[in-house]
Amino acid sequence: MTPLLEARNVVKHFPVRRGLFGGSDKAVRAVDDVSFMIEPGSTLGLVGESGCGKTTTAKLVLLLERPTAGEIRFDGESLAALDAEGLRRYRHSVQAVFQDPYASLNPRMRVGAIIAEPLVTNERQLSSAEVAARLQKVLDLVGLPARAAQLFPHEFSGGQRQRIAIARALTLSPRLIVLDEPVSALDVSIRAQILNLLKDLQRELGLAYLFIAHDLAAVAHMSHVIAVMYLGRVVESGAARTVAREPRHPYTKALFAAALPSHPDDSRDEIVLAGDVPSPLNPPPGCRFHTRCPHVMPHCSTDEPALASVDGRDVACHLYDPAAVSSGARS
Amino acid sequence: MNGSRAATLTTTWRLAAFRTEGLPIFPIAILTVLAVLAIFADVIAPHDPQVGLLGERFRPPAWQQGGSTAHLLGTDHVGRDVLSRLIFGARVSMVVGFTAVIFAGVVGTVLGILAGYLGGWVDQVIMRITDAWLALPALTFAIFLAAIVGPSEMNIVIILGAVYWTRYARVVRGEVLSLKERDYVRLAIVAGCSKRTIMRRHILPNVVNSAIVLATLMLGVVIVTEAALSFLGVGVPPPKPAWGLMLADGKKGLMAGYWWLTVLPGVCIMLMVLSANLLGDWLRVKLDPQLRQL
Amino acid sequence: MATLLDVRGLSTHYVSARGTRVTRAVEDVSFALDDGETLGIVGESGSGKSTLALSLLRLLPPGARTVAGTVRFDGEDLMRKSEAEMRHIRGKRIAMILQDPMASLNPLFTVGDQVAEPLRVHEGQSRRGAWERARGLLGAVRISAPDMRVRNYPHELSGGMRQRIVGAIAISCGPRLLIADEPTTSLDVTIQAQYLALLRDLQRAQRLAMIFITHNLGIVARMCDAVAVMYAGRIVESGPVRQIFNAPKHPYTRALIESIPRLGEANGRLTAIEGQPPDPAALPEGCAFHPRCPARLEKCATERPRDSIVGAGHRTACWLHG
Repeated sequence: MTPLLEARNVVKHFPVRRGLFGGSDKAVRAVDDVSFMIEPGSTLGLVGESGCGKTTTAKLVLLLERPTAGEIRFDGESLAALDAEGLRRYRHSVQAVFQDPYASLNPRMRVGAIIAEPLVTNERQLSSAEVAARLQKVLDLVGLPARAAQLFPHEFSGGQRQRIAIARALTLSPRLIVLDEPVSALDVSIRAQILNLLKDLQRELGLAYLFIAHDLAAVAHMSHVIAVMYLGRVVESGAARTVAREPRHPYTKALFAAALPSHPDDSRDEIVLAGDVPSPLNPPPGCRFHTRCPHVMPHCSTDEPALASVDGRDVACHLYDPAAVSSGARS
Repeated sequence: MNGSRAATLTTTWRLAAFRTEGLPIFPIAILTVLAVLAIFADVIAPHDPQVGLLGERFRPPAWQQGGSTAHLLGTDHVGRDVLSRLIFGARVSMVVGFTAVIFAGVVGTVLGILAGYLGGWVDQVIMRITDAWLALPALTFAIFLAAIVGPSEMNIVIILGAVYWTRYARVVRGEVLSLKERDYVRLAIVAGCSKRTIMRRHILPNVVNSAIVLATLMLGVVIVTEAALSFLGVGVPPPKPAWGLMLADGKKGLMAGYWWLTVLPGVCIMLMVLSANLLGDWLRVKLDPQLRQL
Repeated sequence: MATLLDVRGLSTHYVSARGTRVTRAVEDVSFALDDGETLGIVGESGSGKSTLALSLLRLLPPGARTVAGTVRFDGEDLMRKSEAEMRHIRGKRIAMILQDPMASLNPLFTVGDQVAEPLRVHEGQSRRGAWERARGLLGAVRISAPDMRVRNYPHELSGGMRQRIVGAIAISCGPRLLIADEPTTSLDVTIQAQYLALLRDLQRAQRLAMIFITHNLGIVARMCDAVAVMYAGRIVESGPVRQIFNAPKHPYTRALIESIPRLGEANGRLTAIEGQPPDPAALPEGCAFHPRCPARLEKCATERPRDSIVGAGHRTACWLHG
C-alpha cells in the first residue's frame, strides 16, 4: 500500500542574516534529514521538545514552508512538482488544526463562515444550499448544535472553539489532518472529550493524522506509529506500543521516564538528563544528543549515527551499532 | 471591595475623565451639536453668512454694550452676522474634516495592508514613499500643494488626504505584520485562499478598529490644518465661511478691541478638536487594548 | 509534626469596577499544612487556585478582596497583619514561584543582583556578602559555572535556567513555606523532570513545606503528600495523595483521574467529562459541578453539599457521601 504521505530526507534550514548585506553563514537547522511515512487512516505521532523541529515539519507538510532539500510525497506525487491544479487538490486532501483555540478563528467572522471557508474557496461551483448542508453535516460530526453557525467565536469556550477548528478541517473531506498540539491549550477535563472525538472521526471517516504533541501519554494514546525528534532529526521511530513500552534510544527513555506518573506509586526509572537542549543554530557534532546522554561513548561526538532497525523499530544510536552490540555494550 | 466606596470611585472617574465604563458624554455632546448645526445650518442660522450690512459693522455680542439681539455674537468687518458664519463654518469644518479623514484613511489603510501583507518590493516602495512624505512638515507640504492646485473646497480635501494618509499606512502596516502570523491567517492559507481574499476577509476587518481610532485622533489635526490653511489664505476660498478664515479676518480687528472676531472662531476650533481627541482617546481604550501604547 | 499553615474559611471575591458583578473566586476554603509537607492544589481555569495563592500572601490585584477567613502561619493570622509586617514575611518566611520565569525576572538586572536582592532587603547583607551568597545559591539550584552565570542577564539564559534562578531567589532567605504556582507549565518535559527533582531535593535539605498549584495530576502524583481539588472556587475533595488516587470520592476527582491518558495502558476510549468548567461569575445553583456530574442527584441542583469526612484525613463535599 502506498503510504499516504512520505517524507524523504527532508531538510529545512532558516538562514540567519548577518551584517548589512545579508550573507548567511549561519542557519537554524530546524529539520535536518528527516524521513517518515503516514499510512492512510493511521496516526503518526511526532514527539519532541522545543527546538526539535516538529512544528517546522508540520509547516512543511502543510506547504507553509518549502524544504531546503529532500522531498515530500503525497499519494506518490512529489509536492515540489505540483501545479496550480495539483496544489488545489492537495489543499483538499490535507488540512490542519493548531494549538491555540483563541487564535485559530477570525474573531470578526461568524462560525458558519469560518467553517465553510475551505469549501467556498475550493469548490466555487457549489450552491449555497449545498454549502449549508455540508456545514450542518460537519457541525453534527463534531457535536456542535446547528445554531452555532450564526454565532461569533468569542461566544464559545476553548474546547468548543477547538471543535469548530476541527469542523473546519473536515469540510473538504480531507484524507490527512495535521494536528499541532491540539489539546495542550485546553483544560484537562476537556482534553479527553477532544481526543475521543478525534479518534471517533478517524474511525468513521478513515482520516490519517499527523499528531504533534509534547504530552507523551496523549501521543501514545492516539498514535499507531511514533517518531521521536531531537534537534531536527528522528532518533527513534516505530509502532507506538513498541516505542512507548520499551524505548531504546537514551533520549526516548529519558523522555518517557520524565513523563509524569499517573499514580503516586507508579515507579519509573528516574533518568534526569544533565544540561539544557542545545540551540538548533549550533547543534553538537556527531550524535546531537551526546552532550546530554548518560551513555555517551568517545565516538559519539564525531560520528553521526544512522537510523537502523533494532528490535522492531528504527533507532539512531551508536549503542546499537552491530560492533557495539557484539561487544555487549547494550543497555 | 466595600460597595459604597467602589461606587464613589466610579462617579468621580466618570465626572472627571470620561473613563471606559461610561460613554464620554462631553465630546459626544459637542460633536453632535456641531453636526446638527452643520446639517441644519440653513434653518438654524439667523442670517445669511455671506451677506453683510455695512451699516452693522463691528457690532459686539449681544451682552456687551452696543450689541443687539439681532446679532447674538456680533458682526464682522463687513457687517456679516458672526453667529451665522460660525454655524455655516461648522459645516465647512465638519465636511472638510470628515471627508479628508476618510479619504486619508481609505488610502492609508489599503496601502498599509498591501505593504504589510505582501512585503517584498511592494512594502519597500510604499514605505520609502511614506518615509519621504513623513519627513516633510505637514502644514508646509499642504501649503505647497494648495499653492500649486489653487484653493477650493474639493482641492483642500484632496490635499489634506494626500498629506495625512501616511500616518494610517504606518500604523496599519505594523498591525498587519503581526496579524500575518496569527493562526487563522495560516489556516486560511492552508485552506487555499488567495492573498487577495486573505487581505480582504481576514486582515482588513481586524485592522478596521485601529483605523477608526486613528481617524478620530486625526480629525483634530486635520481640522486645525484646514483652519491654518484658511488662515493663511490658501484654504477654503472666501466668502464661504470657514473658522480659520474668520480668524484671519478677525486678526485685524484684535488691536481695536473686536475680540469676538477671533476668540469665538478660536473657541469653536478648540471645542471641535478637543472633542475629537477625547472621543478618539476613549475609543482607543475601548476598542483595542493593544493600542494603548499609541 | 507541627502545623505550619492553617487556613480556615478563606473567601476572596472580585468586584467589577461598577460594583455590579461579584465573582466568588475563592469561597470558604480550609486546609492545613505541616512542616516539610507538600500539598497539591489541583484545579482548572476558573477554579480559583491562583487567586488562592495570591490571597495567602495578600498579593491580590485591585478589585479583589479577601472578605472572610483566617490564615494562620506559625500561629499568627496573616490576615490581621499590616502591610509592613507582610513585607517582612514575603520572601523571607514564605516564598513564591510563578509560572513564567521571564515575567518573574527583571530584564534590566543581572542574575546576581536579583538573587542577592532578598538577602539585602531581609537580612541587611552588604552587596559583596549578598553576591557571595548568590553564587552559593546558584550552585544549590544546580546551575553550572555559577561564577560566570551570576553576571548574566535573564535573556541570556534558557527557560529551565531562568526557572532555577527564580527558585534560587525564592529559597535565598530560608523560607519555611514555598508556594509554587504552575512552575513547570512553560518548561519542556525533560527540563520539568530536572526541575521537580531539584525542588524535591531542596525540600528535603531545608525542611521546606510546599504548596504546589497545578492543573496537572501527574505533578501531584510525583511531588505531593496531600491533595486538595478545587472546583469553582471551593475545595471539593482533599486528603492524602494515595487515598485520593486509589479511592477518589468526588465525581469530579474521579472523572479527572480517569480522563487522563496513561502510558502503557490499552488505548480505549478516555472517560470524558461533559460540558465545560463554569464561569466563576455565573455559577450554577446547588453544587457547582452538578450540570456535568454523571452521578448527580436531585438535591444537587438546589442544595450545596456540606463538607464530610470519608476517611482518615480525607474529606469531600458531595451529596453522594453524606
